Parts: sequence; structure tokens; C-alpha cells
Amino acid sequence: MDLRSEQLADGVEKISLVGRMDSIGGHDINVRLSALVANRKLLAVVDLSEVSFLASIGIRTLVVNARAQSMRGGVMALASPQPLVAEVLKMAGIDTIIPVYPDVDTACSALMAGAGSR
Amino acid sequence: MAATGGEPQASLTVGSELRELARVSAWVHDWAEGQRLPPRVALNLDLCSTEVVTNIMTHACSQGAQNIFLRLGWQGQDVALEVEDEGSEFDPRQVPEPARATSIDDARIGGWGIPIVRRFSDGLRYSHHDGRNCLTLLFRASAPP
Repeated sequence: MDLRSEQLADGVEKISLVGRMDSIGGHDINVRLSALVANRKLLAVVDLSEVSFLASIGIRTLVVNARAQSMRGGVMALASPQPLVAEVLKMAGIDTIIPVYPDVDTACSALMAGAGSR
Repeated sequence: MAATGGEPQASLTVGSELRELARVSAWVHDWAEGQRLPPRVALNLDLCSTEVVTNIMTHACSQGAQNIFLRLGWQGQDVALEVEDEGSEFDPRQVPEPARATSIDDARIGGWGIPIVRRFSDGLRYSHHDGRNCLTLLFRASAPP
């Protein structure tokens, strides 16, 4: 798996994950994602558009890191899941506890609006 | 790897290391392509085989099981994936459904493998004989692409 991050103009941290989130790719990506989101308050959007596969280990990675961000007063949202990935998220009810948006732009707008009303 | 080349039956034996998951996935996709399965059925097969094999690697293999035996084939109109291991007796059908989370603070982080298998396969059979767990997952091959 691969991970790329960039800070967008509105201050939102965009984190793009690429590849299969199974037990091979999942561990390494958990360490790298935690290094980015666990230690500071952020408005973060995780772009899942290039994640072709999300196994149960990937649910763990997303929940652990969204929780870490929530505890710091920030938000970690998800964007652009492929259909199978979206179904896995829905099955586990993850879409009800971590916001999921159809694309990164929509996620950024929602996060900025939420930050403004806080 | 047991190449399929369009053969209706295929088998693969893998060891207990997590890196073997890549072989399982490649084998599943090779066979699915040879059988001209709809892409979505191949993805469901890939997802469920990954979860079942990961579960065996992390549980049964830690108790001493060395190998995992996989077979793919047809049972009538259904694709059947058979998975056998020599770990202690474990019937995944008996595992209760986990509670769905109500907040990020109480969300369950693990234990989603078997629910994924239930959701993304179309049937589950289990038996234990000759010291082996034998799990069969069925997939309707007529699922839309």
C-alpha cells in the first residue's frame, strides 16, 4: 500500500491511500496513518478512491485513527470509496460513526462548515 | 501455484505466513478469470477468502497448524470455495454478530472478518472431520457485474 498526504488551501489535510487494505498492506499503512493523525488536531480527509479492497484489518485502521483524531478534537472523514469498500464500511456501520462523502471536495466543504459552527 | 487455465477445479496449499495472502488472491483472480466470473463475484471471492485465510493464519496457525488447503470449483450453479485447516475445532457459523457501533468512542475495532464473510458470500457450510476444519463458502455466479 501507499500513502500520500498534502495540505489543501483551506487547511484540510488530504491523505490518499492506495492499494489493498488487507493484512499485508494494512499494518504498514496503520503505522503511517497514525504518525500523521494521532498526535495533532486536524481536519483530515482520507481519500479512498484508490483503495481497491478493504478487509477487516482496514476497518480497524480507520476506526483507530478516526478515534485518535476525535479525542484530539479534530475530525477524520472518508471520501470516494469504491463500491465494494463502501459496502464493507456500511456493513460494519462505520459510515454512521465516521463521516463518508462521495468526493474530497464535498468532504472538505462539510469539514470547513462543521469547523465554522463549532 | 496451482494454475487454472480455465480448469473448473483448482487447488492451492499455502503456509501460515500472512504474506501468503498475496498468493491466495492471485489464485482466486486467475481462476475467476478462467471461469469468466462476473468481476463482482471475483471480488466477493477475493474478500471472503482473504478473511477466512487471515483468520486461520492468526488463530489456527498460532496453535500449530502448518498449512491451509484451498479448493475452488462448482456446485451446480454456485461457485464453491473450500478451505481446510488442522487447527482446533472452530465453526465460524456459531460466532455471534457483533453489535454495530453507536459512536466512534465505542466502535468495535476487530472481529469483522466473519461478518464480512457472511455478508459477501451466499452460503456457509462447516464440518469437522479427520482433525480438520472444513469450511465451504458458496457464491452465486449469476450476481450482476
